[in-house]
Amino acid sequence: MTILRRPGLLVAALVLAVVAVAVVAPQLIAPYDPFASVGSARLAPPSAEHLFGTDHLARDVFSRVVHGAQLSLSAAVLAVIAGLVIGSVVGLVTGYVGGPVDFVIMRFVDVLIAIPGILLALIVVASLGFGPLSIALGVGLGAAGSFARIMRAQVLRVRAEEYVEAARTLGVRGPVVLARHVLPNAARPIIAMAAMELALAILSVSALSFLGFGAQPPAPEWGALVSAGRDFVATAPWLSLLPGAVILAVVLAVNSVARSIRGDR
Amino acid sequence: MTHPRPRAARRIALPALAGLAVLTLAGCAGGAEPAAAPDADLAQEIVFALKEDPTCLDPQQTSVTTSLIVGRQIADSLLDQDPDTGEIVPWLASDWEASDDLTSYSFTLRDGVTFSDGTALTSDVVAANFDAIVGLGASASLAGGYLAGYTGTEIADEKTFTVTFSAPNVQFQQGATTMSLGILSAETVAAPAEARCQSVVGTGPFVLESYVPNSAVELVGRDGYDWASELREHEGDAYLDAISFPIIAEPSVRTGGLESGEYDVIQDVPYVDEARFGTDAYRLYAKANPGVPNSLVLNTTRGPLADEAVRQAISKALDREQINLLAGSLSGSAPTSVLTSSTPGYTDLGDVLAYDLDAAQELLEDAGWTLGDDGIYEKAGQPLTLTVTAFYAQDVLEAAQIQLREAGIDLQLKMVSAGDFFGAIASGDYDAVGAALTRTDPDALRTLLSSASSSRWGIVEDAELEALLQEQAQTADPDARQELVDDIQRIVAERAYVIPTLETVQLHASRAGVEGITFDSASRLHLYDTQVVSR
Amino acid sequence: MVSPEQRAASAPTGERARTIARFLIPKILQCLFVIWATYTVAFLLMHALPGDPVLAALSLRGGDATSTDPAELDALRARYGLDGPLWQQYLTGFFGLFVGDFGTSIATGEPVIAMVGRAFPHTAAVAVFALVVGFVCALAFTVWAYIARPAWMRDVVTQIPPLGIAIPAFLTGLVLISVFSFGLGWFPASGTSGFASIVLPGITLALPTGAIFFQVFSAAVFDAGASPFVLTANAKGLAQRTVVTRHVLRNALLPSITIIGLQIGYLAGGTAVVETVFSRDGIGRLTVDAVLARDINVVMGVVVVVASVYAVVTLIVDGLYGVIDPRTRTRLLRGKVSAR
Repeated sequence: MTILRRPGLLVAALVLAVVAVAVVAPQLIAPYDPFASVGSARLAPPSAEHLFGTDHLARDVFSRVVHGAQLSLSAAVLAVIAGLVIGSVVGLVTGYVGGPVDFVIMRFVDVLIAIPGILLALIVVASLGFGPLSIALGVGLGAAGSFARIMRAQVLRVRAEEYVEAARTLGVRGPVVLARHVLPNAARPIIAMAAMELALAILSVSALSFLGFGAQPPAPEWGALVSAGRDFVATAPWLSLLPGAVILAVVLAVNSVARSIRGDR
Repeated sequence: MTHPRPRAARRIALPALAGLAVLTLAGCAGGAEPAAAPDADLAQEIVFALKEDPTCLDPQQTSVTTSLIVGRQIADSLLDQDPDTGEIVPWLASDWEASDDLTSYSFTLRDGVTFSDGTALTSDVVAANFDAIVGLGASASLAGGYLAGYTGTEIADEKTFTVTFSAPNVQFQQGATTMSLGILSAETVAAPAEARCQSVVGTGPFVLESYVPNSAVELVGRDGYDWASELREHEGDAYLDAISFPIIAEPSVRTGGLESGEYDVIQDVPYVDEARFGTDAYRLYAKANPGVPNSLVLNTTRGPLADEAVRQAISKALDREQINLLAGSLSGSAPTSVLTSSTPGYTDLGDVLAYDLDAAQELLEDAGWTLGDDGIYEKAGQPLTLTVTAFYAQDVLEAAQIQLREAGIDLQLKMVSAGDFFGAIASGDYDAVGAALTRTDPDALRTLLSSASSSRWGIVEDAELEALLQEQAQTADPDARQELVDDIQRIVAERAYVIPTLETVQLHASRAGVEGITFDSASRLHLYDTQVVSR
Repeated sequence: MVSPEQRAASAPTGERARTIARFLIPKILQCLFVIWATYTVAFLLMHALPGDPVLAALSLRGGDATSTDPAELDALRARYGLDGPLWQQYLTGFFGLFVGDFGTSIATGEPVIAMVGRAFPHTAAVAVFALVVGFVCALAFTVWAYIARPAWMRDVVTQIPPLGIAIPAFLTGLVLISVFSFGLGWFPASGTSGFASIVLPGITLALPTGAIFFQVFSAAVFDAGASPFVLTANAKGLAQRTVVTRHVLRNALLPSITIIGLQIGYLAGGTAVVETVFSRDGIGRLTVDAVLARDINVVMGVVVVVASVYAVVTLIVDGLYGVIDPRTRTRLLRGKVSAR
């Protein structure tokens, strides 16, 4: 199998497999209850008993990281889906309709890209209240702009193809043309983009919860774990560094898979 | 010239003294004897790292500790209060007298006091200060609270005046020792509220040189300062020539900076780092905030909280000693009343607030609750769950959450910004709020719980309590008042309207070469006696 | 036969100026439209936010003594001009922009333009440092990858820069602080004083910036490297270095400029995370604090400034396209010629 010849991709796949288990059935991997104290050993360094050590309230950090996978990743996945759906629909419609409508809508897409992503996400989360849905919407809106541009470019490209003109001459209606010709052609670059955006979304979601715009405590979102560990960087650096390293590993793995979808070397 | 020195004030303060004995061991005693003037070779300048932007330096408008640390050095008050005994002594006012019914207070100002802009301190200026506070309305709510019922200041002559109220005001005398009623120059007081935040002129031992928001505040010493209160260690100019207050929001950066020598003093050492600075190379300054401790203040109109058994169960299920161990300071102790041990009027109710998991569960079961499969009690299909809204002290609430979960009670946290916290209070839409109320007078309980209080946090309907709260605010006799305050504390604790979790201790640290940092009675810092004794 | 390029080169000055104008004016209008649209969208979003800005401002100063008395709050609301109908606030705010009046911050009482003016240079300093360091490192890695002989070596080198995008900024920042501030004491861990305070946050931001440059840059270079004119140059016997500098790099310039433009826009928005970790005053932290405090005027001010920077940079990038790529110039002129 070709996958075995590319060790990087193999490692990435393994990492994602472990993460998938953590999302679906965290209790299989996590040895302790992420919300309960494990005794009086506060701020214990990593050991055989506590792989990632314990935090200031004597909770096992490894268990918290495992249970946090669900929160952090589901928000990121939702964000990408939201961005993909919103962006693709907008790009599809505006590319097909063209003309002044296209011009105005694309300027609003420019606006979406001009407003700093974090500001947009902050405002959405602050208005809709904290929670995975609002985070997903906030981060997703930022990504929607890129999806819109790609979809529109695909629509414009395909529209100019002769077989599309032929189809329309034959009387095939607009939406059918869109569905039958544009979408399949756009699928590959969109999916590649989605994979890249997933990595970015994981980073954005963890950055938001790092800044305090995540789920309520004691939810062990990864960004919130790093943020909580900030006060202990001098005395117990593993509290921030280990969850941060997990984020890094997952993002690298997703990136790796994304690049292989895109067909890179 | 005599000034009334209520003997009973000492009686109220005895428990405070007992409570403070533990605390003063921690820090202040270490640097309390710099009798000699500082060494001329050592530059008398310190760098004091603040934990957040003061936002507003006007002590009458702000009650945030960070801002008051700066403001206390710039503005003086009419009176001063001994933090150990609670005794009230003269400061800018050399003499004062309260009427029997507490509706008027007369003051005589000390001679020779001037503001740093050269103008003299006169009765007119003081009157302008108080009038302006009332005019500021919501922008000066704490100061305005001390002046509740203010009708005006009658000026007898340049040094004598009388402050009058429409109803007995028991907290005014103590309020006059605080920063909130600190006296500012006529020009400052006449300026609009926003301008006052950026530039303040007072009579204090230091003068504001510059304030760059989010960056730093710079103070310089005031030449010719000669009216320190008798509670200070020396007279004349302050020892320090300049104080720089950089704003360092990250606690680890502050502590790292203290260790590396970048900062001489830092505000708010995280409790977890307390042991690191307990060595001889540093000094720790610890003082428990007076007032109501960090607590769950309940809205008794909501769901299960209407039932006294549920409230008492919550209170008994909390192991306050453990919370103090996990989230509190080494120098502090678990709360043993609905007032902190450093508040005048505090009464030890340790028996009522003792940890008793079995009794808590018994109370719930007697009231018809049964333990569900998920470990949470339920009744009629409804789980025993409540949400506490808070804007700080997240780790205290998380620790409480863990303990309550063990007992079968589901405590949900709702951490919000400060603005949203008060929005929730304004709308009454909350089960409980988690916060402390830092005041130097037991009247804090009235502010917190009385239905007549405009910003009450605890929503309770208890006629007996209400009557007591109103009565203590109008009782001049200290012994009688103490009895009322004892009753109030017992009722509030037994009926669990306020469930204390932690006594917040202000914890600051300096390197050993800086001496003379002291707390005043409201737990604000005096840097007047501070000097650099070694590099 | 005079080619369009030759005709372009010999066109009289008046025509050239008109061409530039035809090119620039729609772009400038687009610029202004983006700024207006951004202001409007941000205005709508901020006013859709629940929460009371006056209460938020009071609580910043009042601490636990914050009053919630409705009458007093209404008085303050009138004072800050928050009591008028929405369209009135919108128009006043928008026309205020043209005279440089961005309103007053409700939370601090300072004029917004002063707050933004104070924060922007700090953000800009770190952004410039990050762009320069990122660009230089990306360039170095690209050259290294290009001239690396063994194939495995090239693979390894091209795998390193993408790490820069994957690592979360707060992790980088915390690691750098632990090692270089608390550990070695070489750089300050916070503050905005002096060049030394820019280094660690700058490096933190240079990682993702440089990584993105590398992706674009190296792709462009390798594509150009395989193109016909390079093959021709090589066949003619030109030295490797000449080939690289004269042809490959110059052709890689276009997409790189686009990316630089996007990066500037992103960095101008301030990176709240880096500014939080390093306790720096900057646009990012200003924004986060303002959203938390519902400080509408500050958020609007930041949005307008950032959108303007983004729009201006896009304009410059488009302009540079015209300068660098002769094909674009020709296309414009061809348009003019064919209209005759």
